[in-house]
Amino acid sequence: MVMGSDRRRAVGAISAATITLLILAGCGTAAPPSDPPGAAPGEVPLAAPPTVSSTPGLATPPAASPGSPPMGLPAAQAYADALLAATRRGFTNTAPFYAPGAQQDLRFLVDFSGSGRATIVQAARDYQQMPPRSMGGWDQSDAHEATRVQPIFLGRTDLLDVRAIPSCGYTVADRMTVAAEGITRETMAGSVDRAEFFHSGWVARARPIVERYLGAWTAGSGEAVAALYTPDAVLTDSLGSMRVVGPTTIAARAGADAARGGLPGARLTSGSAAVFLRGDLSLLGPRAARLEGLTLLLTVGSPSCGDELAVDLTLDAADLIRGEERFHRIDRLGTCGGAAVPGTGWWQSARIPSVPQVRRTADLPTAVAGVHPIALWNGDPRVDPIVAWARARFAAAGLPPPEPASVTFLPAVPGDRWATYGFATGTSAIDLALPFTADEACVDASCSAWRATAKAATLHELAHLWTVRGASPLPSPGTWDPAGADRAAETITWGLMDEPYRVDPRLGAPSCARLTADFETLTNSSPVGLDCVSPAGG
Amino acid sequence: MSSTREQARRPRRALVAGLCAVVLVGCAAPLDASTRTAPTDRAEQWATAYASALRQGVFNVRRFYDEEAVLDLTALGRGTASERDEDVRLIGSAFDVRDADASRDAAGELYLAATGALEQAAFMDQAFQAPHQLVSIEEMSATGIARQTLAVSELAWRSARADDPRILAAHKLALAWAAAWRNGSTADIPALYRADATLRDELVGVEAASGTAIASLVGDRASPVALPGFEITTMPDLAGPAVYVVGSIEWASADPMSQVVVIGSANDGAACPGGVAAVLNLDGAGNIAREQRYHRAGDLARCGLAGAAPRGWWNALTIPAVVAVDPTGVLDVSGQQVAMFNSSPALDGLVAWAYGRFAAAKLPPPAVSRVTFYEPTVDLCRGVAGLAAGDELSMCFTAQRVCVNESCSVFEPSAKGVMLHELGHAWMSTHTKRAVGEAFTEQAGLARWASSDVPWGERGVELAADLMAWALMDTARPLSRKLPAYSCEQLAALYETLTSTPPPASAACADPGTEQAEAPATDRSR
Repeated sequence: MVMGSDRRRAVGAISAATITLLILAGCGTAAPPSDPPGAAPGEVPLAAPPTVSSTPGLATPPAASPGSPPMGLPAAQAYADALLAATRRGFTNTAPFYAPGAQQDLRFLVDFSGSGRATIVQAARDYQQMPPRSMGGWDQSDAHEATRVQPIFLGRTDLLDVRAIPSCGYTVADRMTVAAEGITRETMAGSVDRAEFFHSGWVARARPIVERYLGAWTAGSGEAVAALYTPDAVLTDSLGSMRVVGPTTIAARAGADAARGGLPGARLTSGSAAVFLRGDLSLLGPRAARLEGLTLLLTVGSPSCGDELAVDLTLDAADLIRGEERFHRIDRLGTCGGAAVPGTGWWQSARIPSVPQVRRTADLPTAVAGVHPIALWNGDPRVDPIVAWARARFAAAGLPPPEPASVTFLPAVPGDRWATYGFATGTSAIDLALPFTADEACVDASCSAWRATAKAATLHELAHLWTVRGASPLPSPGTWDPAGADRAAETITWGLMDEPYRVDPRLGAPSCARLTADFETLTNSSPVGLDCVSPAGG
Repeated sequence: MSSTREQARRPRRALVAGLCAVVLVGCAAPLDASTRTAPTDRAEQWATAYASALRQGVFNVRRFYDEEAVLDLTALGRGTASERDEDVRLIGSAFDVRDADASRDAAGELYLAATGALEQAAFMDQAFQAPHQLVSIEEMSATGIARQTLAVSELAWRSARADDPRILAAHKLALAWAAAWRNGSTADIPALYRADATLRDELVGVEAASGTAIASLVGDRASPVALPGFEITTMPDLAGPAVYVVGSIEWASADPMSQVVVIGSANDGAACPGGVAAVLNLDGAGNIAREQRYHRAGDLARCGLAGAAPRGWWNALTIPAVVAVDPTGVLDVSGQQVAMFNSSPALDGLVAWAYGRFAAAKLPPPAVSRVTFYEPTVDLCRGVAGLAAGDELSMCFTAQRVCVNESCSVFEPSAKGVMLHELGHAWMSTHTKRAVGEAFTEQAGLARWASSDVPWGERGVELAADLMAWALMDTARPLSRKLPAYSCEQLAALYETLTSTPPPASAACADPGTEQAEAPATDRSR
């Protein structure tokens, strides 16, 4: 995590070079070209003309999925639709879809990879809007206006969703491994236009791989197919119940029909982007611009009776295929050219989260020139002003008020509400969550006052942000251990409360003198609270 | 800057522009004293004029400073200057005054002493763009500001230098000072003030010359400098307490803060003495060595603090014109004496060149008594490139903005065109009879010769002025695109109607629809 003093920069790790290029890439640019620059006649077109030209608004219902899922698979379709809808409502709503320890690889898109639900969702808030916040972008919807451009593809443990992000001008192939606890792994590959922008070498390098791959499999040439793979390569088609190891074994499928592992007549699917790249977007260091894999959307077999596949290729440094996984388009399963409808799969255990959704309800002006308003999620006129109140308490002490990008009032859920909605306290994230709603914060039905616990929680979370953003005179808040960060936040809370407040007893029993001294050390200012109350008294 | 804010400002700008135009064209005299309603209003007028002048271009504030004025921007890390022109240059380089908010014309709270003032600074610094972050401490002389020091709010100071421990000491000093005066408590006075500290409140006539004397004033609730119930002002927009500091930004050098400013309000039960500011000058140990008090201008009369007619620097000072207009010479052209203002040898040359074009076209010279050049930032020039009012011309450009080469021997064609256009107005004011104007208007197919009821492009007089610029230019110059399109033949005929002579052979023309150069900036004439 970046723990810089500038909140605009404190949104995670992203290389300067990437930032520069992301700025240059921008969003809202023209649709990707139908042919890659420099493609000669007869070359495999790596980017087909896009079919999506409109940008649906947030109020638009989830994208209709072309085709209907065959019997037995509506749960998979519903899961994918629910996830897409959550993405469009606000990234926070996607949090319950992720397993607590989920891993995510967005390196090709935004130079981010990480693990943990909160980290993943915060990365979405920070990066999956264009331009990212780190570069001054400020899409307060915190949402994607993504549109599904192909029916979903399925593996026994995986969901692959191809979505266009019109505002950014590229398409992603989002592969997710789904288990009973949710998505455990997610990797996004980007369409050719994304790759072309960042590194002209990407497409030049991918093109011959795709040409060799399609040429070998369509020719049914065992020798040519074997030459594509490393000695330990594994080809998997989980719905086709196929797993073969080694180039010779794989090559034996070369002349087979689709049901037996062959790819007769395979060609890139038309109608949307069909080649997606993944790898490391870093432009510096040993990982620079490394192509790690490709996802191809293929049409196989005859036009009247063919299959639609997504093929995920993992490459080694010499561009040989180390692993190949095939996924089947949901609307082709059980048809003449497709695989049989699977009896088992992730969709049988995965559950669409049933926790309350969050939505943006208001924007709170910051009263600071050049600083964006604070987006309030799940707010309520009775409780929204608590954010302004808390910021005013900082100002009253002569402290620059913290400037979160958003504040979400978290509804009660079974278990930890922070974890459920992908928030963490005490991090560098500029999206804050408060563990209460208006009903919980108000002392009475008319909300004549807020409970001290609600005020303290608000000050506490803002204090975390205040220290993390470098407003404190103490150096390197990112290096504090969590207990130290909590003690700092609680001490600041104590000093800024407008009613007697006892600090969290887990911090021990500091005296008023100690709290005052700590507050001064933390802020270079004095407490503005009322008469001192401490666990130790005095 | 939000569009809403911009829209809200426009009417005000327009009003200001109109008022200033009257002042500018007519004179550069002090503001009308008859509008004053209280003696200290003149101080407020001075502050408002300063803010307005600054907003319209830093060059305008030069006259507000004494020749040897000291400008102290130490708290902004920009050093000091000790001579008027240096001051203006430093302000120009340190602050963005062109985008300063027009609302600053209505200067913020003004605090007065007999020899100085304290007010919200009219500057916008890169590091301190939010309002209420800077105050200006001004020592006044009979010739303007003698010393100006900018102080930074404690919140802004922490925002820029969170790890500066001196701000905690300043903060505590301000709180302790406020508490002592609020409560009338003398216990902390020895810790706050040096033994030889001084306190001056010129307007109430109090001066103390020792810590002991100050302590007795603190303890005396009837003292004119008592501050019962004093509370430090909380500034709007989350700008924090009204506590400001002056000090080197290089705090690691251990230089202590040199000044702390506390602004607040005291209430004796009748809301008096009201708003008070104290500038606390500190010694090397952080103790108060000298305290200077200022009173909120509006509270002086209301609370009767300084008598019916408090005297101070405002009594002796002439308020400079908001926009600087300096005579630069008299130009002898075509047998006329033209008074030049804000001009330069190059701009004089431009005027002479334009007169020469009239002579070359065998037209009698325009009758002009005065030509003044302005920076385009002044209100008068908002949206216009030049103005003609009778025999006085106001041109909205300076040599630096229109010179093509370093020696300024060549001008931007647009500047030459505007010069000819405005001289055309002046020429018509003495050489064009009403009947000619009406005939010209009818021939051009326009509704009116000159009327603000019709758009600029539909006025015969504007077409006529632009037609003269077209005809007299030494290079191709199309008519303004705001005017109707005419064929070359029509233009020639119109010119003959206007001047009774054919266009000079040099007049380049292209019929409508053919490619022409971009028209020059518009103008406004009266």
